[in-house]
Amino acid sequence: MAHGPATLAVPLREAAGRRARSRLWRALVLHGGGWALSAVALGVLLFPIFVMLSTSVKTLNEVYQVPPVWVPAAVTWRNFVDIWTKYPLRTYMLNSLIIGAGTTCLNLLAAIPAGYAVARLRFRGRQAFMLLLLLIQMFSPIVVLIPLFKIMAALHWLDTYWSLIVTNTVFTLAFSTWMLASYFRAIPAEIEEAALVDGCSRRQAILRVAIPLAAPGVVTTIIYVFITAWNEFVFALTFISRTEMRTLTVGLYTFIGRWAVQWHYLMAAALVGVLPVVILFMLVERHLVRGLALGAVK
Amino acid sequence: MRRRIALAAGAALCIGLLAVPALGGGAVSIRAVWMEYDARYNTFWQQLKKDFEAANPGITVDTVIVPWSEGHDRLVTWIAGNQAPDLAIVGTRWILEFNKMGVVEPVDTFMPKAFTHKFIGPALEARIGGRLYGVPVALSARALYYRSDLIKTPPRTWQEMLAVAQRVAKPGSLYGIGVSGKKFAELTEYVYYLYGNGGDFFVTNPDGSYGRCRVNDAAGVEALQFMTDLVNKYKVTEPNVAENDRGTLQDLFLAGKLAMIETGPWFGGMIQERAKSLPFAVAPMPHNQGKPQHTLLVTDSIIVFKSAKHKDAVAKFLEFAYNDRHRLEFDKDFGMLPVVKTVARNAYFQTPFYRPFIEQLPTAKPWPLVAEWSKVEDVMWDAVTSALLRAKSPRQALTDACREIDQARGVK
Amino acid sequence: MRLSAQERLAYPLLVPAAALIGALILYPIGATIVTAFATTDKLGRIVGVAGWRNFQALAADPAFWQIFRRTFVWTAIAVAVKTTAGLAFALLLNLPFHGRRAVRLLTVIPWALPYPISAMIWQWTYNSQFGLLNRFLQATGLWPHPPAWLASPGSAFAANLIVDIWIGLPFFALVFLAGLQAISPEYHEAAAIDGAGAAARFAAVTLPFLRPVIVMASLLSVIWTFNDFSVPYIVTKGGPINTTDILVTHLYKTAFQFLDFGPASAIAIITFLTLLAFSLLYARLYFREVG
Repeated sequence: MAHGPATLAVPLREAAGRRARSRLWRALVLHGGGWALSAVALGVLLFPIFVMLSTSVKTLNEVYQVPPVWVPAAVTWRNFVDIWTKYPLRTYMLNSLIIGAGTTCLNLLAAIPAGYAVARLRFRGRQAFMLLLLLIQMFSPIVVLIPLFKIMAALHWLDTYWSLIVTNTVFTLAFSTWMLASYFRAIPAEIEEAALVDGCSRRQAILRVAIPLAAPGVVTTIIYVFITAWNEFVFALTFISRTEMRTLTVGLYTFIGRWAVQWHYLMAAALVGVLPVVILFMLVERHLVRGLALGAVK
Repeated sequence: MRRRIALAAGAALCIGLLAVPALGGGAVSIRAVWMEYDARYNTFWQQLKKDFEAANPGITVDTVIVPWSEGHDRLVTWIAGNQAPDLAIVGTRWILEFNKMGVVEPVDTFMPKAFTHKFIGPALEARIGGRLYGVPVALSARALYYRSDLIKTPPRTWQEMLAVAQRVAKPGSLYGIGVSGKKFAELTEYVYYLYGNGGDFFVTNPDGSYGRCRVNDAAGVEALQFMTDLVNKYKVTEPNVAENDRGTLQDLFLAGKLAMIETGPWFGGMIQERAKSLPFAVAPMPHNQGKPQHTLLVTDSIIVFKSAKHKDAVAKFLEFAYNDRHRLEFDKDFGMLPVVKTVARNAYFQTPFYRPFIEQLPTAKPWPLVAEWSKVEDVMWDAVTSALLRAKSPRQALTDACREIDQARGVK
Repeated sequence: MRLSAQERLAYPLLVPAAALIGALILYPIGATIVTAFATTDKLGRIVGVAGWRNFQALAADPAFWQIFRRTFVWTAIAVAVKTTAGLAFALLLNLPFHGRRAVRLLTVIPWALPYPISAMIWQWTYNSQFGLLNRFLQATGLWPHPPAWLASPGSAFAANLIVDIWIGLPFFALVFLAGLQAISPEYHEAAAIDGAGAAARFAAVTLPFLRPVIVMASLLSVIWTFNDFSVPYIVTKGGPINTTDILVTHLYKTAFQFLDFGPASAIAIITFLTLLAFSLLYARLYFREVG
């Protein structure tokens, strides 16, 4: 058509214009509609986040102003200075970091071999083991809080990182083993067999071939386990009594006192405390989500 | 290669975590659990520890601070796990429950007589059957705070209080009197009306123990009826009472939305800190016309656990902690009434603010001491809230509550 | 018993996981089961045999059945809303408009916040005097007379549901989105050539492909929601008048507030068996789905 007679040029240009206009129109509908709907959805989803931001920069007086103000007339950064200097927020965060990292380590040490075995090997009790993992997923931690506490006391692990590392590991183990198993299953068996034929031992084949190929699954697991441990509340509340061993979630919870809640401090501290994880989450979100979705399907 | 480094680093981290040293040294160490009275980050306990350790080399104090809302449940968990501390602050009303577990060491077994003579009479609530089970640490009575710019003469009776509330209330902007209907660590307002109407929780047996629940008698029902009327009939309270507990009610007063509120001496300090310009004064708790005036008296006590290994060190610590300087500092910091006689004479407490609290002490009544108090309190809260929300009539709510309480306590 | 070569390899690999699970899950579960059939003192030490008495007492308690039923309603509504709203959200995020990556990133936030912190933020947002939610509803005219959310049983239950849904929604939206993106466009094109409209394509292509993801996500969500302790415990403390208690908060109160460890263990067993029965049904569906 591009080579058509000159006499057709004008109507063609008009048709192209109409197509362009309709493309423009469709783009407008698509983007405009997308934006409008997103704005509504995000408005709902982020409303409490806005409340957190706004409260964290209010003075005590503005916190209790009726009717409440949206954004304080004079934004104050004082709350952030106060919580950083008066409260051991850094210690809380460091504790949560150590516990999160420790849990991730221990979890992988247990979940990678178990996931591999479940995915690749035939053995008696395989179904039962899988079912057991599913059952654990169903158990509310509250149910076993007291016996677990007694175990920790007997081991002299109260007020140590270990108490939380092992419990968080156990309560994330089912999910991570399932997830890793689905990744191992997705690796074609021939690749490993080729490695075995080439003279690798089974252990070498696992370490050099299977684990690297399942790396996306490992990363997904790391993120899932770390976040779960970072956010854990009930065990941290029960196993830890010393102020300097508190995790972030429990540390923030103590901003609620017997007589008053320091809402402006609570919100400022929450903001500082959750920021690292929110950023981490945003960085790896794509990965995590794909892992979760595909883990389920594979 | 990178992968191997990552693996090695991960393994090293794991081993590093394993190696976190076990805590606790060789010296004599006592573990103390203190409760957080407000959400400020308090230095009082840390300072006390420092001062004590400086004066007593060889003894260290391991200080654990817990928020009140978690305090009871944490202590129970620790005791159940054989991890009871050496000493802890508790609400005196919990002592019987802990005593029933057989974990409380009476203080008078290892403290000199002179020590127990330090305290003013009303503070020694933990004296049960001739033994002292806890050292009083915090004492409060409840009183009526009112806006002195709106109310010239404070009401003395319920009837006056209602009239004042009706006069000053401006719907939507100023509420007459605060009533809280949200479950809280203690049964806040109902007890003021119950005691102010000559009522009580239990029938007292001839031997002094507590028998049947009696909140469903005329005095108890009338008290709840009056609260319900304030809320639903006269509408002089804040709207949505079930949303507020004592804390948020105090927030409303601080925000200038309440003309009257019934609470304890700590609130004076909170007003100083958060609403300096708010004109207020304090008066004794109003009572029903024709009935004697009684307010609520609450003490918290330090209990010592039987499992404490170094009772001598604990005794040293208690002797030290009850010097006048630290006691005055405690009372000032946390807004409490003095428990030690010599501190009570201090000029700090001889002010118009403290007078109503201290003058009420001789007639003030404490919580009943029963081992099942947590359960009783929970049931009572539900009864009060159901009446306030008009889910049940006051009589019905309290009759149901009494049945449940008697059943839980095994009282026929 | 003779072990095959694979078994000789498999069992050592399972040792770390099995040891952890045995010590920290199976043993405590065993202890809980024993306690459920025992009478205990206030410290949870077993002092006698109760037989079925703890269970009989629960069965005879109307308050328990009320909480039991409420937990089902709670779970059903929350999961249903999370699934449908999550799917709608995922379809929106799947539209190729500019800036959708930014929208997706912001969507993550509620998921990344610790539960207790979300619960505390919401509690403050709901406050009828100082909170911004009712201020917003009134200012925009969307709802001129909103309820004081936490002040009456119905609205407090709804308020807790909203928090639970808010926390869980991003998980659904993003997992469904990943599922949607894994569907090859060819299927849609083929359906379009066959003359299928948008709705028909959704029913014929999108839903069948998403089914395994939906099954997985909703099963997990049922478990998480059923066991959601932080939201009712922090936002309403189960009130007013215990109308927002669910099984796990009731269990916690029975054990740690009232120190009735025998009945608490019985509640624990019932909670577990209920979830187990449901999950087994669901798992059958899942295994049939995935093969």
